[in-house]
Amino acid sequence: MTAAVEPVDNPEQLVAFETRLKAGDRVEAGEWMPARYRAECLRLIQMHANSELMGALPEREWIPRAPTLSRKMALVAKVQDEIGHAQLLYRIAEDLGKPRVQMIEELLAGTAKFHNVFHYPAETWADVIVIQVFVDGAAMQTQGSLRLCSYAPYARVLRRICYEEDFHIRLGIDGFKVLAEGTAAQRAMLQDALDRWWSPLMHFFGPHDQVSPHLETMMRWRIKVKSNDELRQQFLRQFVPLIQEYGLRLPDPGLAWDEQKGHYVYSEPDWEEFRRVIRGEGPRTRERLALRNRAHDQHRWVREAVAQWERAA
Amino acid sequence: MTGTWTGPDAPPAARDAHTRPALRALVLAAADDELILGHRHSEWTGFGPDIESDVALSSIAQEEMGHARVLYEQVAALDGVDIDRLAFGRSPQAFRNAVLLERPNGDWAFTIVRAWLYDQADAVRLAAIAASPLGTFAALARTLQREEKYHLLFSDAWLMRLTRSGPDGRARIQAAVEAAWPEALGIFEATPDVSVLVEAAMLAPAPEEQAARWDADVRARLAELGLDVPVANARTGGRAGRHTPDLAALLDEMTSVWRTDPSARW
Amino acid sequence: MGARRLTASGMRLDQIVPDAGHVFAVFRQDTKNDTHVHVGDVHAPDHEMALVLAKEQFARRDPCVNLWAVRYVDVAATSYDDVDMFAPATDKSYRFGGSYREQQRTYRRR
Repeated sequence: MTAAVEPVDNPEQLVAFETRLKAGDRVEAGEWMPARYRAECLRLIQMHANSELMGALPEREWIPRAPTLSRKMALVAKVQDEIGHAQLLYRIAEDLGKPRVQMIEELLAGTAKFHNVFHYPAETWADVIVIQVFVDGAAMQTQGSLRLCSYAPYARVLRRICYEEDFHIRLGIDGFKVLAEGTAAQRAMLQDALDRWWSPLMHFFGPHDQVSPHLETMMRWRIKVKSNDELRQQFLRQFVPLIQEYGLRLPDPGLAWDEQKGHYVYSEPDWEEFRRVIRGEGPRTRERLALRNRAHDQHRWVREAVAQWERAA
Repeated sequence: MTGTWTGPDAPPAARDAHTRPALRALVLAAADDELILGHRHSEWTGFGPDIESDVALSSIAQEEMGHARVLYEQVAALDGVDIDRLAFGRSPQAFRNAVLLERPNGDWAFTIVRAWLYDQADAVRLAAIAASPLGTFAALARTLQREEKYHLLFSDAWLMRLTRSGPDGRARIQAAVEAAWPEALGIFEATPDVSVLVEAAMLAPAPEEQAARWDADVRARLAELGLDVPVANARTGGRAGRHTPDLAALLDEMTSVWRTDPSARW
Repeated sequence: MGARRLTASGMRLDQIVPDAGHVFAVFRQDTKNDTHVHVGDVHAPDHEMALVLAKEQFARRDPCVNLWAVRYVDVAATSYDDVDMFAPATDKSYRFGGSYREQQRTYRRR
């Protein structure tokens, strides 16, 4: 993560910065911030922006095949929101020191990360519904918690993102109910999708947090607000009842509420799979990056034409 | 909803059994145009030339589909069917869209030129319906005009910038105009029995005059941009259900989930 | 004072992005009872395109009667370091109605 030579922060400014944050103050673009604070915010926001762009891909595959006019329009609107979120996030990341064009190039080159869930296939219409309820629902836990983050531009953008994500989830739950209460084939399709998505969902929040100076700094600087496990438990508390309410099978036989511990227990996910996927070796990573690259190449002439137009204006 | 066709507030064109089929055909053709183009526009989602244009074209796609929906609702009310059956349950031969709209998106130049030629035509068509004694249908056309105005703003903005950007942009736009022109002329192909509406003074101007109006508008703007207007015969057939393999492929994909169980709720 | 709008670490946008001129700040007026408010920025080749694109990115859900687009690099801004000058150091109660109410209380008591 760190460059060869990391600039040394002015110790007085660092103390003042930490004092301010401790008192609840926030940081704006243009204010002094530790080099590492800036780098961590940029990394976090860039990954979020990448995830919105890549997240659009599994769902957009189903736009041409959405089974009713209403679902079709709603799905276009939802994916549009995601592209819109990417726009907002790249913009604030840009203010942290990296041009949008460079962030997109890094994504296309496969050197920038995006969330594990978007490396997986959307095999059926029910996958779209599961994504809309559970993947968005998972993202909502993290995004909701980060509304309290110290980097003000990100906190503000997250307010809009959470507002829009909220009705994606509601619409998703509507679709979920329709399939769960539908024909035998629809129920089976939904159960199958849920079974296939469960593991990526459990991976989504990341492994159990290792106590480390890095984690401690992230929490102190309010770049991280809740632990991975807290967020995962929040997610389970919100969404396991939904699965049970509709009589679907919990994909993990080891998943259960432990009254004594006061939280869910579950089968330990395969973290090696998570690490592989995040590295760029997911089931659909290569195809999706290839698709993005192809579109990017096909539009090169458009970018050049627009640049020429801008120069002449 | 059948009130639109038979109630006391329904326009004469709808109440009269002699003109009703022609009005239905006109509305269905417009609905099919909007659905098919909306579908094509929506295929760009996530792959636009820049993030902002991606978002903008997505809105346009949604609006075209929204227009299709509201127009299908009129036809569905008359036919006593549900709109999804109209949209998803017909064979290609039963579709009445202009062939131009079923063509694949091609490059951004073709997409913009096709959208622009259609948006210009839609403006003329909607203006005619809005100004004709067609009651609720005229009111509906006035509602759609508001959104279509923005569609034309977007496609014209891109058309102008790409054309004036330099030789390469200009060449690509010109090529797209050449490719789209013959089928663009087919947008004003007469829908079945439309002459009945025209003769009864229920639709004015007539499609031929609308076509002439469109031709004048389009030529003026192309000339302003220094683009050549191709010399070509109209390629028609869409209004009579004669389509290309592109429509069959589009519909096959579009209906693939719905077809697994047309009676299911989704 | 009067510096161009700064981004992180005191850099101006044109120090980060080669064509910073293509970023436009968007201001949306919800209704005629409202002022224009900064809602975000778009990348666009020119002002007119910025407005066309801003309509969908910033006004597809929210009410809107008017939009402004301003080149981001033209936005002049104070520095957060100058926040002191916005916080009153001496008594400014003469600006506020509070002092007037206090007067009324005193007056009525008599």
